[in-house]
Parts: sequence; structure tokens; C-alpha cells
Amino acid sequence: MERTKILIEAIKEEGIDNILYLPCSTMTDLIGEFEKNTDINIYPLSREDEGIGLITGLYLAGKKPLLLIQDSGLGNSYNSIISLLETYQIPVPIICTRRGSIGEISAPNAMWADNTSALHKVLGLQEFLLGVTVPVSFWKNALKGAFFHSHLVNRPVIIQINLRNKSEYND
Amino acid sequence: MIELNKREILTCVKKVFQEEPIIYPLANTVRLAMQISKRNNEFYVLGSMGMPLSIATGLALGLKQRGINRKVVCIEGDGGLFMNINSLFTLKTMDLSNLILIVLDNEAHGATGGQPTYSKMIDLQNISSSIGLDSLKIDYSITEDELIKIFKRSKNYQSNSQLIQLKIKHDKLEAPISFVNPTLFHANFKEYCMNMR
Repeated sequence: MERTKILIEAIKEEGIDNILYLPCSTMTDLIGEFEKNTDINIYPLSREDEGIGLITGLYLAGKKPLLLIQDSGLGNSYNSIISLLETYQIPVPIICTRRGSIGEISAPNAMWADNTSALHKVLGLQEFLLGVTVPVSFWKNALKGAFFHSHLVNRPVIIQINLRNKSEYND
Repeated sequence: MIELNKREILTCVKKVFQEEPIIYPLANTVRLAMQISKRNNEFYVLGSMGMPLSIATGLALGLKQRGINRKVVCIEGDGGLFMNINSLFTLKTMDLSNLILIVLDNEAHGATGGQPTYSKMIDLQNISSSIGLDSLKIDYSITEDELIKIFKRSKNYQSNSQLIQLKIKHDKLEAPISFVNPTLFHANFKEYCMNMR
């Protein structure tokens, strides 16, 4: 719950005004909180990659959108991330809840999640990973820094974050 | 079947929607659009097949939130729309009345040699109507003036987002490939949208 709280605060302080999401089981409280918040518009998606188009449109309209998905959704989205966000230099944040590693209960999620960082290196994508190697006390600063970085380099940023408080082994 | 070719249709679009943001899809359509004229109210999607309607929906949503009462026009091919058909449903769920989707439906993937899309078997107008979008299919011969009248009517229509499906011939009208800078398209279009009142 503490990690979720930190994420909620960071998103609000950044001034995000629109959240497009496809839920992960670890973000139930997060979504619930934003559904109660009337200052931020929150919309469900049917597929992650259409969220790439939607946040592009919202950004071009002058809004501050956030895409909130499970890390597996990145797999559905790389073509749009590269051909749209990277090619046009659209500075938007994508927050992915991280699956895989010790404690994961779904084999397909485990197969996927453990390889995303390596994939992002190959694709040249800006990624920030908030897991066991980054103390939770630093997460808020790290999130602020990641949002800032997106605007600085005019690129999308992928922020991978582990919201499962129970297992300390997951990175 | 509409006898007008893509160039003639896009010319009509540009004539009617001079102050509305327009999103164009990849391949020959976007190249033709740029060849006719490049404008700051136009966003040229060079790749990302299937994304134009999602981009247009996000744009329409953002402009509505800013209180700007102007239509967003999305041009798409039948192949692109089927690739991201969810985007039609998402448009409906966003409860927007300021988006006009014009589908250039030649029932084929024009850029790759004319292979058939689903459009021959699956009626896009039916799908669109069934989910509550106002939908019009034109599959008969019309003049440019008549098409302009239809576009003008849709521009003034306030009650709902609209799909206008134009059944066109698969023609080999090719615009030349040119070197362009997508980041300039981003900058110019964003500035245009930010200055909209």
C-alpha cells in the first residue's frame, strides 16, 4: 500500500490530468483511488497499444496524459511506441506494473517480464526501474525525475514499478 | 462505387476543413495529402498503421476538455481501421461528438499490392451504427461538389461522432516518396492545437 501511495502522490504532483489504463491485478488500489479523484480523468482501454495513440492525441491537444499498464502490455505496444512516440519525439510517461521474478504465479508473465529491460536497451527506449534495488524512500524523487527526464529529452519514458509489497525479491 | 480518386477526395477534405485538425494515415494517403498541401492543422502519420483513429480520439477528448468546440477529422483506410477496430469502440465509450472519421474504403491494402481486406465481407457502416455512432456509407457516383456538401453537413452536425465510409476504387495513384521530418510535424501541429480557441 505504501508503494501505491507514493505513486499516487507523484502522479498528482506531476499534474497528470488524464490516465488511460489497462489494469493489472497489482494496481487495483491505484485505479480505485483515481476513480474517486475528480481532478484526474481516468479511462479504461481495451488494448494497450491503442493507449499509445490516445496519449499522443491528448498530448498534442495540450493535456498531460499517463499510460498505466502491466509490463506484458508493452509487448502489444512496441510498434506504436517506436513508430509514433519515438519517431515524433512525444514526451509522455508510461508506467508499467512489473511482473515476473520470485513470487510470480503466472508462467507467461514470468517468461515476459524478466526480459523487458534488455529489450528496451536494444530498442533504445528510456526506462526507469523501481524495484528492490531502489529504496522505497527514494521512489517519489525517482518518479519526479523520470517525468522530468521525459520532457528534457523529448522522449517517452517507461517507468517499471513493482507494486507488490509482499515480496522483496522482485526487482 | 465513388468515381472520385483519393487525390480528389482529399482535396475536398482540405477545402472544407481548413480550421479543423486533420489526421492522415500512412502510405499513399499521407503522401498524397502532403503533396496537395502541407498545413499546420494536419498531422501526418507516417507509420503506426491503425493508430490515426486513436490519435484523433485522444485529440478530440483533449480539445473537449479544453472547451474547444471544433471537429477533429480522422482520415483512415479500411485496412488501418480493421487493424485497430477497437478504436471505434473506444471512441464510443469516450462519449465524444466532435470527431469525424472518413474511411477511404477500397477493400484493399493499397500499399502492398492490393490484397483484400475484410471490408468486402464485413460492413464497417453496420458495425459503426450498431455501437451508436452516426454512420454514412457512400458507394455510388457523386461529384466533388456533392461530396463537399456532405462534408460541410458533417462539420455542422453536433449530436454525435460520425463515420463516413467512402467506397472507392483501388487505384494506383502514387504520390512520390519525399524526405520529411516527423518532429517538425509534431511541433507545428502541437503549436496549432495549443493556439486553438
